[in-house]
Amino acid sequence: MQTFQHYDTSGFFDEVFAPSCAVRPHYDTVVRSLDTLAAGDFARRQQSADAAFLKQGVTFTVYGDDKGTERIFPFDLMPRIIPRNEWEHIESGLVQRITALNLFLNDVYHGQQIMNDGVVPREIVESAAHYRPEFRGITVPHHIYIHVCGTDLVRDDSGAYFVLEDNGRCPSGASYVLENRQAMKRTFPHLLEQLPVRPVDGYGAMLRATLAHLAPPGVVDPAIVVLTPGVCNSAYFEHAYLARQMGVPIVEGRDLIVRDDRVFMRTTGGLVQVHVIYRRIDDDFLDPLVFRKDSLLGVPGLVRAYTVGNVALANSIGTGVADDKATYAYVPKMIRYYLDQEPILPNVPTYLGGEPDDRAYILEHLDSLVVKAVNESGGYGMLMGPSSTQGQRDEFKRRIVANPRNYIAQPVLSLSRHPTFVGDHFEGRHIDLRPYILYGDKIQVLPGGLTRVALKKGSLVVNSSQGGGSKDTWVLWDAA
Amino acid sequence: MLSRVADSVYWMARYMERAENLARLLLANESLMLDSGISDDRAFWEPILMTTGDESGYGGLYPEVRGDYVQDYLAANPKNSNSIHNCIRTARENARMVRDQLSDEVWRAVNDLYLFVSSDRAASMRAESAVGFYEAVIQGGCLFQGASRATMMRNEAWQFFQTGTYLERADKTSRLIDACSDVALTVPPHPDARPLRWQALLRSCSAWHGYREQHPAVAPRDVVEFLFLNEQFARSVRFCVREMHLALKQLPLPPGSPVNSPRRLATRLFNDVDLATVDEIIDAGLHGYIDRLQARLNDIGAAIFETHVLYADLTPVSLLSPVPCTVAPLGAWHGDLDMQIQQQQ
Repeated sequence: MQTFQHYDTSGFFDEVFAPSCAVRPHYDTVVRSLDTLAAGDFARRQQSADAAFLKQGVTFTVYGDDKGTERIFPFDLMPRIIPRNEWEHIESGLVQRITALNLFLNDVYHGQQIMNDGVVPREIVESAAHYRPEFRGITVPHHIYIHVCGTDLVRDDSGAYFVLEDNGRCPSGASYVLENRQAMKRTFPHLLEQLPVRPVDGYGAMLRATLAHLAPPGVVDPAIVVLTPGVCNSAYFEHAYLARQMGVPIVEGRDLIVRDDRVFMRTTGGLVQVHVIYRRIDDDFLDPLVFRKDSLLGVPGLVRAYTVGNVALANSIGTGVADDKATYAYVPKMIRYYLDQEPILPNVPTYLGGEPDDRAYILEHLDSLVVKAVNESGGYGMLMGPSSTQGQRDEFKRRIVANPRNYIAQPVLSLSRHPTFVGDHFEGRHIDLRPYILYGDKIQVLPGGLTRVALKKGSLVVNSSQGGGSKDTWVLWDAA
Repeated sequence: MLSRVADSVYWMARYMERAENLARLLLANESLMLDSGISDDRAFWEPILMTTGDESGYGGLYPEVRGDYVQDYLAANPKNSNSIHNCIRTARENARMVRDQLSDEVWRAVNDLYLFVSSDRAASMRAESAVGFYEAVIQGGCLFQGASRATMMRNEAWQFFQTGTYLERADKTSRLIDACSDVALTVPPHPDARPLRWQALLRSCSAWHGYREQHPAVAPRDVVEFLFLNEQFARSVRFCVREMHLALKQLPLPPGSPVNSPRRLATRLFNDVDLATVDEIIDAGLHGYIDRLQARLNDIGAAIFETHVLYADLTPVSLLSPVPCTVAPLGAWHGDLDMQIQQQQ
C-alpha cells in the first residue's frame, strides 16, 4: 500500500476505499498493480498518454482566445471501475428514464394528456426555453424524439446513484469514451488483460444502427450524415470522430441544400439525397427560415423537409423541453404516470416552490438548501444556503413567496471522490458519470461512459471549461 | 464525394506543397548568400521576395528589404497568409475539416509539422540557424508526400490531392525559374559567382543530382530545359502538368458542368508544354512565358472550383422552389472566419 499510504478518504464516499480504508473488491487488481509501479513510472505513463492525445489531435478549442488555442481534455490514467451489479442497476434506470422522457415528449407535442391530468403543470412546459409549440401535431419517425441521451449521474455520501440532469439535445463526450479506452490500452495493457472489462468499441456501429432505424419508409440503404457547425466548433473533433467510426460523411450546413422538400448534399458529381441527419447543431441554428434568421450554420428548408418526413433528424426538434431544469423535477412523476413504475434511479431530491408542502419545507430550511431559479443557469439566481447571510435568505424568502413556481431547491450534494493523479501522488477528487443511451429499434446503453473529474482540489465542477478532466470508465463483466 | 471535402483535400495538398517550396527557396538562397560574398542585401533578396508573389504585404511590415526581414516574412510572419507557418496552419485546418478522409499517417504528418513550426524549438532554430528549420520543413513535407502515397486510397479524394499537389508544384517551379530570369541575371554582382545562382536554383528544386547526371556543366539553357521539360524529374513543369492532367481526367464531370472544364484546360496546357522546346521558351522571353503559364494554371484552379464545387447546385433536380436565403461561402478554409458559436451540452 505504498502508493496510497497518505491518501485521505475522510469526509466523502470514496470509490476505491471503504471507510475502513480497505480496498473495495472490484478495485483490488488495479490498486495492487499500481503498487508495483516504480516511483515516477505512473507520471511517465501519464505524460506519454497526454502527448499521444495532442499528436492525434484529440483536442477541443478554447473560445475567447484569438490564437484559437486547442487543449487536450485532461485525462487521468487511474480508471473508474463499476462492478456488474451496480451497472445493471444503472442501466435499467437509464432505460426506464429515456423511455419515460420520450413518452413525455410525444405527449407534449401531441395530446398533452399529462398536462391535462395535472401531473406536470402546463406553465412548466410552456415556459421552458426549448419548448417548440409550432411542432405540436407533427409525427416523428417511430415517435422517438431523443435518440442519443447523455444522462449525468452522481453518487452521494452513501454511494447511492442519483440523476443530476438529462442531456437530451446534443450531448457530447462519447468520442472521449472511445479515445480514453484506446489510451488505457496503450498505457496499461496488462491491467486490461487481467480484468474482465466490457468493450466500448461498438459505439460507432450502435449509433449507426440507431440512425438507420429512422430512415423514411422504403429506403433500404439510407444515406446518413453527421451535421456539424464546422471546424471552429469546440466539439469538432468529436463530430469528425463519430462520423469516421460510423463510416458516414461529416457535413456542414453549406454542404446541404433543400429542393422540393428533400435534402441533398453537394458532391463533386452533383446532388445526392440524404435520409438521416445526426445533427450536432442546436435547434436555434438548424434552419434560418424557421429559427435564427442570421444563422449561417444551418440549412434553409431543412425543418420543412423534416416535418413532411423526407429526412429524419436525431435528435428531434424541441427535445430541450424534457431536459429543462424545472421539468427535471417531474421526471419521477412521468415514470409513474406513463410506465406505472417506481423510478429506479432517483432524482436528487428537489423541492418545488409551486407545491405547497415543498414550499413550506424550502422556507423553513433555507440555510441548508441550494435554491435555484428555474429559468436561469450558470449559477445565477441561486442561493447556497449553508454559506448565505440572513439578508440573502430573507431576500429569497420574499422572492419565493412572490413567485413560487419559479424556484426549486435541492440539498447540498457531496459528490463521491476518486483517487486522481496530482503532480506525483494520488488525491481524492470529486467525479460524476455520463453514460450514453441510444434509442433506435431497441434501447442500448454503452457499457461505461464518461467519468468526469473535478481536478481542482475541493471543486465540485467537472466541466471541461472549468478545469475538469476525465477518466476511463470500466464496467466489469463480473459482479464484484 | 462532398464538394467541400474535395476542395479541402485539394487545398490541403496545395498549401503543404507551397510551404515546402518556400522552405526550398529560402534554404537554397541562404546557402547561396553565404557562398557568393554579396554585400547588397536588397539586390539579392528583392527578386526572391518577388518570386513568391506575396511582396505586396511586405512593405507595411518592415522598414527595408533585408535578409533577416524577408526570411521572417516568408517563414513566420502571422500577417503573411502565405508564410510557411500560415501555409502549414491552413493545410492543417483543411486536414481537420476532412480528417475522416485521411489516413492516420497523413494526418499525423500534417499535424506533427504544424506542431513543429508552432513550437518554441522552431522559433529558436530560426533565430540561430534558419537552415535547420528549412530542412525540417522540407523533411516534413516529404514525409507528408510519402505517407500520402503509401496509405491513401486511390479514390476521388486522391485525384484532388494529386491535382492540388502538382498544380501548386508546377506553379512554384516556374516561379523559382523566374527568380533567375531577366531581373536576377546581374546577381551575384561578380560574374564568376553567377553560375552559383543557377546551382542554387537546381538545389532549391532538389534537381542538382539529377541535373549533374545528364549535364557536365551548369549552363542556363540546360538548367531551364531540365526544370521545364525533363520527363523524369518529378518537379519539372512538364512532369507536374502531366500528373495534374492525368488526375483531372479521372474525375467524373457533374451534369451541367461548363464547357471549359478543368479537364479540357489541363489537356490543352499539357499538349502545349509537351510539344514545347527550350529554344521556343527562351526565344518567347522566359519571364513572359512563365507569366502566361501561371495564368493558365490559375484558370485551371478556377475551373476546378466552378465545376466541382459550385456547379452541384445546378443539377436538374427540378428547381421548383429554391429558397431565397444567404448561405455560408462554399469550399475550403483559407483563413480565419468569424463563426457563430453555440453552447455545447
